[in-house]
Amino acid sequence: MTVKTFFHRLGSPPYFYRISKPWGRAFAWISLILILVGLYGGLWLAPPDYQQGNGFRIMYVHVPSAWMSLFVFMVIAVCSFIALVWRMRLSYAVAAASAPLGAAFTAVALVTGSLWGKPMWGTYWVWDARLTSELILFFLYLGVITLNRSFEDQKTGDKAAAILALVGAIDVPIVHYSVDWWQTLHQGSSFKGLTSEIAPSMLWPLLVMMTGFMFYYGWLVLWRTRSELLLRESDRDWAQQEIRP
Amino acid sequence: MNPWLFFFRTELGISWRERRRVMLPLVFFSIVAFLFPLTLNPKGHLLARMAPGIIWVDAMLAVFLGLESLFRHDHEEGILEQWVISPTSLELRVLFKVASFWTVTSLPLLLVSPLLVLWLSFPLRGLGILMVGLFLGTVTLCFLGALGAALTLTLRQSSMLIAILFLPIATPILIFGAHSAVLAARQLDPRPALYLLATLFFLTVGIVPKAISAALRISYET
Amino acid sequence: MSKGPSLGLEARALELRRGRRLLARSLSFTVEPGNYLELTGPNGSGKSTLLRILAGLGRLETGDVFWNGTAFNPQKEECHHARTLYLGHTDGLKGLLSIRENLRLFGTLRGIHDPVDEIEKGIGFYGLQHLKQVVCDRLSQGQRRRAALARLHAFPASLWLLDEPTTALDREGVERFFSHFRLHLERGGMALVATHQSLARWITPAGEIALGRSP
Repeated sequence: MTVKTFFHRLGSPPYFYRISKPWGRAFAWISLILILVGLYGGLWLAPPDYQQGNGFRIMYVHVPSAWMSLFVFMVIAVCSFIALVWRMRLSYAVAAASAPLGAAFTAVALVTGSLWGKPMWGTYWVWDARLTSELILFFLYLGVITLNRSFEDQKTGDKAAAILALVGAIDVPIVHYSVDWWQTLHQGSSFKGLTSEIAPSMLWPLLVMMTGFMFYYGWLVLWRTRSELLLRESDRDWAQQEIRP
Repeated sequence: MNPWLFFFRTELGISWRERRRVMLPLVFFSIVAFLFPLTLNPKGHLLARMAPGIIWVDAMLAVFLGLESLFRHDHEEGILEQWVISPTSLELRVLFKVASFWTVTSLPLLLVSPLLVLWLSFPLRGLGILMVGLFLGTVTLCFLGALGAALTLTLRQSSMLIAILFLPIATPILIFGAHSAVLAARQLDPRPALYLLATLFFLTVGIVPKAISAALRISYET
Repeated sequence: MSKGPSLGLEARALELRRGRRLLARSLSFTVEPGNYLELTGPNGSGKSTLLRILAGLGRLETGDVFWNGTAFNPQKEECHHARTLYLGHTDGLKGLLSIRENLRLFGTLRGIHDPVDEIEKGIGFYGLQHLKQVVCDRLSQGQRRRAALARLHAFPASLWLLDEPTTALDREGVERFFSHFRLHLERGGMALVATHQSLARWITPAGEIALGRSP
């Protein structure tokens, strides 16, 4: 099977629905194992930081969440582009399924970021560039989700949200840059969230956690896309057959 | 006369006929700015230092105020659907429509901004930069806001939704805009901020009319 | 079905949906120059949906549309928009502008350079000379409808897509419309007209598309 025909077939909802089930299950197991290994490495094996003591360990949740929050937004933007240009129904479903997940990752990154801020900065919220752009990203997610759910007709909601996601994807780096720029203007609060040099014994659990989060997202997005597809295609024969046992 | 200029002029003429409603953002802009000295300490440097932020947030809110009705009447009167199936360029029409919206809602803000500068005891030497920044910024804000209005065209009670769509996307403009004025007031070089603002201006004017057109087409597809 | 070089507008195997609900399936018809089709069916049967698809507003999901034998996408082709005039439920008039200003504004939509004479003729044909300076908000519904129809007169197009064109018109207005319509057909124009009462007593249609039978 060539790559092209593979994508062509993948675009068909019933085919995707069929093949996604074992994949989802595999992703779930892989993510579970990776996250357990990462947590063990991060919470037990890694030595305490000489400055922050054990406080730094929240990084093992914060950094992967923050990374996923950006990654998922890019997934949504790419899916939106594919959906708008090639009218791929599956793409809309993936984007719609991803948005709440991305928002959740963003929320986790924000909460863990503030919790981490307490021991580091002595307060739960500092107008740190990363946290600030994460907050704006969170609002963007809320916009995409709300817009998608606002229309009576799902197709209209999908397309409107896709346009917003594309504009948002252009905006995210600009927001990040503007917030960075704004920070350098107000020197005096020069916090570094993540030190540039990190010991290997601290680094590997982080990388394992990040991969684990990726698989976790992969699992959830497959699972959610499957139910989105059933909802969207509930009047088609294949979905009827799936729903009725 | 060139049909596009005629279109632009007619749009301005329509706004002039309902000028009482169209003038509201201006009144709003002035009242909000006037509330700050009353609720903060009007003496001292606090107000002067806050002035750029106040003026910029105020301008953004004033632009936002008019957004819901930007396409609303054209939609209800069946004009917009004729736009979508017109053999002429929808993007260009959107561009002129938003330009007329800017002329009516934001240009007056620009013109009264010297008054606000006096009220908020912002140093006068920053006025020029503030106005240049406001010009670039309000045009950009109008286009971004118009996108929000187009995306929510067929929804009722859309203003809150427009706010959720529009405000996060607009933050970089506020950051660069307000800080260009801050820099000017401190007698520092405001050009980096203005260049960034100008970049966003051109980026927005180049891309967003396409997105607005797509949003309008989608609104009529069902 | 033969694929001869049929003149006019042809639709093959269209499917109409509103939201998820299927309104009509495998809808095929042809309109030839000088003829028109009547679109009938109860409320909500898809008459407006069909007109909107043909006008390029709605999306054509299933089926094909041909113009003089060539398939095209009504949403994308600018030349289709130039040869078509769509008149929906709303009159498409700006309430704050007068009839004449509205027609001039509509001219910019058609990309036509201020056709003063045609506009005056259209206004005259529908008996609106004395009202042409009046702001449309102050007109009665019937007068607004006449103004909307004057648009058809001022900006000729080969295909008319009309959604209940005679709503709110008085007897005299209806007569004017049909004499205009007859002229349009004599010039080789085509039309699809959605209607609740048969138009056959004015002009015999070439056929009828009856919607609303269970698909």
